[in-house]
Amino acid sequence: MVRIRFTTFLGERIGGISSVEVSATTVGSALRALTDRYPELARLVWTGEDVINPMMAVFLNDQLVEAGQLGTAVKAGDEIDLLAAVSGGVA
Amino acid sequence: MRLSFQETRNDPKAVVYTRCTIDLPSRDVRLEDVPCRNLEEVLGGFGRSFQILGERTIVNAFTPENPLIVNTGILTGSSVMTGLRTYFSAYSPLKVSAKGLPGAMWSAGSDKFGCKLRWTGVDELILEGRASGPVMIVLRRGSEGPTVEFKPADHLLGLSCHDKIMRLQKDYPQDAHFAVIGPAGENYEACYFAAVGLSTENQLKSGDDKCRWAGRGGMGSVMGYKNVIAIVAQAPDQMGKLKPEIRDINRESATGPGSRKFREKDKGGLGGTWAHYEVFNPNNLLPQDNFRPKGDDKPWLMSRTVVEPQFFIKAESCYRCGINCHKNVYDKTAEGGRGRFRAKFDYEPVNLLSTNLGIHDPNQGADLISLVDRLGMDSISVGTTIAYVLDYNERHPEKPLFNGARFGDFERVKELIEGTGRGRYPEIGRGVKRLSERLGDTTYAMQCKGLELPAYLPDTNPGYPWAIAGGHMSMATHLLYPAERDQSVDYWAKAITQRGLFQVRDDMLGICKFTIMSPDMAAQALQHEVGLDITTQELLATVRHAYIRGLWMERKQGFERSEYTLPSEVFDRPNSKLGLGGPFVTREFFSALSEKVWSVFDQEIAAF
Repeated sequence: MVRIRFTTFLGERIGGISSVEVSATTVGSALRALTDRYPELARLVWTGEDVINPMMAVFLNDQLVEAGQLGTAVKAGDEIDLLAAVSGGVA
Repeated sequence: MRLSFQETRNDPKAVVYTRCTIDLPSRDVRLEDVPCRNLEEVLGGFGRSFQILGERTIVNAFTPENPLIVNTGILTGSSVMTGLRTYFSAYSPLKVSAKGLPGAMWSAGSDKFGCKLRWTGVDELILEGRASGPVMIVLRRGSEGPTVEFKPADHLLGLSCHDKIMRLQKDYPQDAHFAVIGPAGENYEACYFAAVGLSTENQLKSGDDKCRWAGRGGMGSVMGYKNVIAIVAQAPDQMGKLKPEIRDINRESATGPGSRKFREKDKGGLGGTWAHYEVFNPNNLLPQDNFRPKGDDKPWLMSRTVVEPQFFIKAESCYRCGINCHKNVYDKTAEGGRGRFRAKFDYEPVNLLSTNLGIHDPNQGADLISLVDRLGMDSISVGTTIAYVLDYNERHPEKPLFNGARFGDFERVKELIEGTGRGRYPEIGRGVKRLSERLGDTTYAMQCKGLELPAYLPDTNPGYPWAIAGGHMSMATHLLYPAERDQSVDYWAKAITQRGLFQVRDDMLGICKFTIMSPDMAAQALQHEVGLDITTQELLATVRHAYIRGLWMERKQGFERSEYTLPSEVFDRPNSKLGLGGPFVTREFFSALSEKVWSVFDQEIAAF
């Protein structure tokens, strides 16, 4: 199983949870499994068929996954972080 | 602050905080222990200060009756990472209703001043009235509680925020941190958006100009009116023992997904808020030439990708913070090493003091950011107001304002900034709302309720008007459109009334918004750090109540529904260059949204 972690920005749309575990072989299929389970997140994650929303950032075990690298293989125990690529406001 | 939750899980009366009220004209000091009346007061920050402000009706920000409240959150000075926030609250000279009454505001700043304030034994400092001459207030931890001393501050006048802090460090070399105003605050009558500069550990050690800021709403102007030039908080560190549960929360804050965007790329991050350029620019979402992206490639010249090879960039942090969100820009030495410190590049000041002024040279951008810091102004307000001036001069070449500056005219823009901070351009210093109304040319004045907009296009954020303390700091709807591209009224009504308002939570707790701490984690932090047994739902309800109080206070000060709107060019001159489906906020859309939002908020406001 692969663990997908996300921030409140996504979690608040699905009951406040902050991570899920999915069965997947690639980063893309892991994200697809996530949005199949939680369709509320689909518009945040995808802008088209297998096209990741450019406003989102995906990390696999601390490494940034570019939009063209969704086919990157994952294995049990891997961790994917999904977050909005923009935020702001600090003093 | 004393907490004793042994018998009750979250009884507010179990929390007693120490209030220090200073009557500035008489120098009378009153120290008192104040039991909390409700959970808003327990959490602190604006949750406490707004209850004090709400009891008063103030007709002018610059009157003795308007207090300046300096306080902390329940987690300020705690072991919780980023528990560093200091809050400055008052009726603002900048935020103003159509009736001419000031609105209540708060502004928050980080690093160690807030901790030191707590460690003197003072949780809340209320400055009443106005001192007869420039004064400095020195708070210390004494053997029998906090002590207060007044010192003349004439020798500090005219110095930049940084130079004031450096001077104070010589006088108070041990265990002290400082809150100061710069020249802009001293010229409060001509500059309504002066900030309060807070000293940082990095600054005191390096000697570099690296203040943190309570910037929004002119809290530095109120401090200037009161003739308080500096506040010194001197006390030994009293950091508590780190509990295992808090260590885990801190680790999650520093390494979890929430803070990734602020961390460096080689630390598994995206490179800080400055990296917004990378994702906004391809979609023409970057404010350019007064919030009107042109679809050209000029904004890209201020992106980190382009700037980084020219400078030495070091990620640094506030006291004890592991996120390292400060992207400090230094000159690069001939050997490629770190040279002279230039400026801290955050998205907001970079955009509003360069791209949005038509300036696309990072050296010039760094100079302007540094200048605004030295003068002690809010970079958002001064940048957005000057963008309006440049826009006006483009539109009215026959009767230009001030020195006739146009977009991209670095030298004249620099002169406008310097003159504003020094009090020579009061029409700029009093903000874009007043300036545009005097000129009768308000449609492209980028403000809501008198507060200048931050660096997110109003075309993509119809939630701006419901921010109670500045555009993106108190209503988190500024990033929704890029992320979800939803153009329906129902979506936006829900976003404002059910999600965006919770942005104000951390302005009660005393932590930084950059931890992106989930509600559950925040409730756990409260339980483990201070023993406050509060459920996530109770926490959210308390935050919501505090936010609604803010709306109620706006209504009390005369703000009417018609003032909750956007700059009219959003409706009347839609920008065809806008990416992601183009403009969608029409008058009809906004009118329907407004009805839905108020149908929710009106019922809750009525309960006050």
